[in-house]
Amino acid sequence: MREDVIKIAVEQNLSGLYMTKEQKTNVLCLIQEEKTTSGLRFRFSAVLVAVLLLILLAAGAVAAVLLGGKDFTKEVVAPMAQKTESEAFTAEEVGEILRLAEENGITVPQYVREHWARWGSEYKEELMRALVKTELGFYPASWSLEDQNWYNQMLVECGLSDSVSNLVPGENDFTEEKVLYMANSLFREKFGLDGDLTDETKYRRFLTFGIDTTRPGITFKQWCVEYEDLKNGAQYAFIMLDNGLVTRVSRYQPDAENPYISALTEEEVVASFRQYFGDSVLGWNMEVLEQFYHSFAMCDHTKQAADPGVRHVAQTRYLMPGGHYTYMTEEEAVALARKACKADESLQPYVIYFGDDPNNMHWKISFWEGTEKNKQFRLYAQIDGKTGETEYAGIYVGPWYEPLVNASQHAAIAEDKTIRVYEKPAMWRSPLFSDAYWDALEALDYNAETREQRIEEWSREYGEHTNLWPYAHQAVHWWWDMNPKFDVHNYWVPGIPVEGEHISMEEAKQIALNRFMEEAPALFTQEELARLTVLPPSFDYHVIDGEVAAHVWYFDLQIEFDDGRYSDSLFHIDAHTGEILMEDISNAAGNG
Amino acid sequence: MSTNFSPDAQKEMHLEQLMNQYGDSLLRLCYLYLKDAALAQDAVQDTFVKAWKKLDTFEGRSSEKTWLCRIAVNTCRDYRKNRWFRFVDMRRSIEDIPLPIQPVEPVVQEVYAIVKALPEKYRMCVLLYYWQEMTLEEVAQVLDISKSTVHHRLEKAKGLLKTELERSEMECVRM
Repeated sequence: MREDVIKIAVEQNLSGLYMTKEQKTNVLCLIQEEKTTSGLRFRFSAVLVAVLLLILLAAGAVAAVLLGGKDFTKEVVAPMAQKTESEAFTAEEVGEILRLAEENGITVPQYVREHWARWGSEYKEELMRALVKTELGFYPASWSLEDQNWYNQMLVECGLSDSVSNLVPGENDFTEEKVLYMANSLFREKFGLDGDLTDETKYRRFLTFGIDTTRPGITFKQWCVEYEDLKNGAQYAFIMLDNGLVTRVSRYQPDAENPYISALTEEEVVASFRQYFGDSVLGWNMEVLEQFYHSFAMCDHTKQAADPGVRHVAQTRYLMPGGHYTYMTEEEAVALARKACKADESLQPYVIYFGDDPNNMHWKISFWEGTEKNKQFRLYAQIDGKTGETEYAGIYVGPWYEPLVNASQHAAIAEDKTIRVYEKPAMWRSPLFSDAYWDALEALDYNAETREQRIEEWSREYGEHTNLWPYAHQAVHWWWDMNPKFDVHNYWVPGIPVEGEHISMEEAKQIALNRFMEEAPALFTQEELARLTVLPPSFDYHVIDGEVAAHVWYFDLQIEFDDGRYSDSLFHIDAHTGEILMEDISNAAGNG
Repeated sequence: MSTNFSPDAQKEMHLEQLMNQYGDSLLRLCYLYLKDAALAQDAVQDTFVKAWKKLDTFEGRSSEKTWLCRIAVNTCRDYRKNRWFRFVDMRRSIEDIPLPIQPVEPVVQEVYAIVKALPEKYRMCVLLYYWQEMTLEEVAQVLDISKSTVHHRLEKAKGLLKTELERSEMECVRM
């Protein structure tokens, strides 16, 4: 493999992702804010020295008691962290903390010392975490819920976190024991997890409870239970909202052939959400929709939900307005939408806010009349979340879920196109190709449900390389797995050669070889020609401007050079007539 | 840099220059680490704010690029330290990044998809070494691991890439 291919692949695929002028300006604005606080720091510096000295003296006294990592952080490091606005300790502060830690018999991890030696200062949070870990264990999620909550609160007090995300269950919440019982039962039932799950030599357990404060507007408290199988690295995850709705039960095993397996089907996820939040998806608020998006994305898709509408709903990511994702208020957006589609005041707005990228957020406002339970949608508009520009405005025509999807999906819905991953491939049973062709592919019983099994069987029978499989097998695999795109003017589809209709592979090969040998002596030495290999040919239908222009045998004649590189000579042979449609005879060496 | 500017202004100009020079690739690096465009944008902004804070203490023991990559990787790690992150959907099929400026050849898409799907520890080594064209030493500095670990991971990653590419090779040739 050529190594610059990776560079090209990343650069080209991510060429649309770049740091915008606005983001750069934002950084400069953040710096101005920082300057204000650092000015304060400077003015306090003289006082700070005195305070630090007092703290260090006190810490010295405490040293005689020999604190553990947790208490040391609480009593010595956190007070120091609170004295300055900076996210990092200076090199001198780190040096002093490490010295005091040593006096307390705390073994500071080597990586902390190395980091300090190399980079000087140390982020406060990183250093505090490293010290606490010496007592509570390496993985914060394996600490008790009380310790996670304590640590989180300490970060807030030190100004290193905005809010407490890790909570301790209250009287009205599930108990830790009950949640563990539920998770363990599901893991045993769905994945056959056996033995003593509390055996720390076999499993590492993580348990968290709280609110995901990294996403604005999230209010659901959530339980997460995870086990890591120390033998094979498999990770088992259970997530449950505090109302009892289980949103994920999954296993992730990186080395397995099918690394991710969900125990929840699409239908189960949809049924659960309907049970907890109401049958009408239009009645779910954006937080529920966002939660639904995540749960649905991570469930088992091999059996699709009976209602295709919910799959459309699950294709949009809904974000609660808030934080830097929001550029205008809901009221402003509704006013713009009302103006754009000339909706009078009697029509009620139904609002969603969606988008994955802070720079590419959208409001979609659908206007309805009728009753809350029986909304009659009339008009809709989609507004650019940042500029307020009207992206779409129209009269409502569509199924029940239309108000919930991106307006650009509207066209797809209207044409009844479905999302490829759950459905048959685009152009399946297209009349461009014969019924016999489609029948042959369907006879192989290859689809979203069976594909894993078929690939395994065929790899065993015909080999790992798909180009060695029978042509019908190659073709059906291509349709389902290669996500083919169909250009209007020119594309290729893997075909099936038919005895009596097409010239045989051997005949076609001979035509290619004969032509090649006319030119070859001038291009290659006899030794090189002795290393000629004819790669397994493909058989394709070539479609030009909506018509099948030719059935083609496609040959690659390869010659290996002394330095291990190869030349490729290519031939397209018309499978009906034996005519050479294209030839590219070359002695240019590549890496194969 | 002109001495007519105050030290503060010079520092800001230096930062702007760094953002212009490395902003895009750091954003893409963060995206490839976090697999979430919105988070990556936050992370790259944080990276530059942190870099600005540390500019005075940057001693040039590594190149500016290595230094910035290290801050970016640490920032991404910080983002991931919250265990909630582990439950954010990393497999969603909807592309959450802007489309490439130019159409991308299928074979190039395939390579990208394979690299992106590598386990994180291999992916970061591959990206820094082959994409960012760093030396083993620099990759080691950024990831805070030993040179031999980097070497080992690259060898392992090459094996994984080769297997995956071979699997899709013939389809790519056909296309």
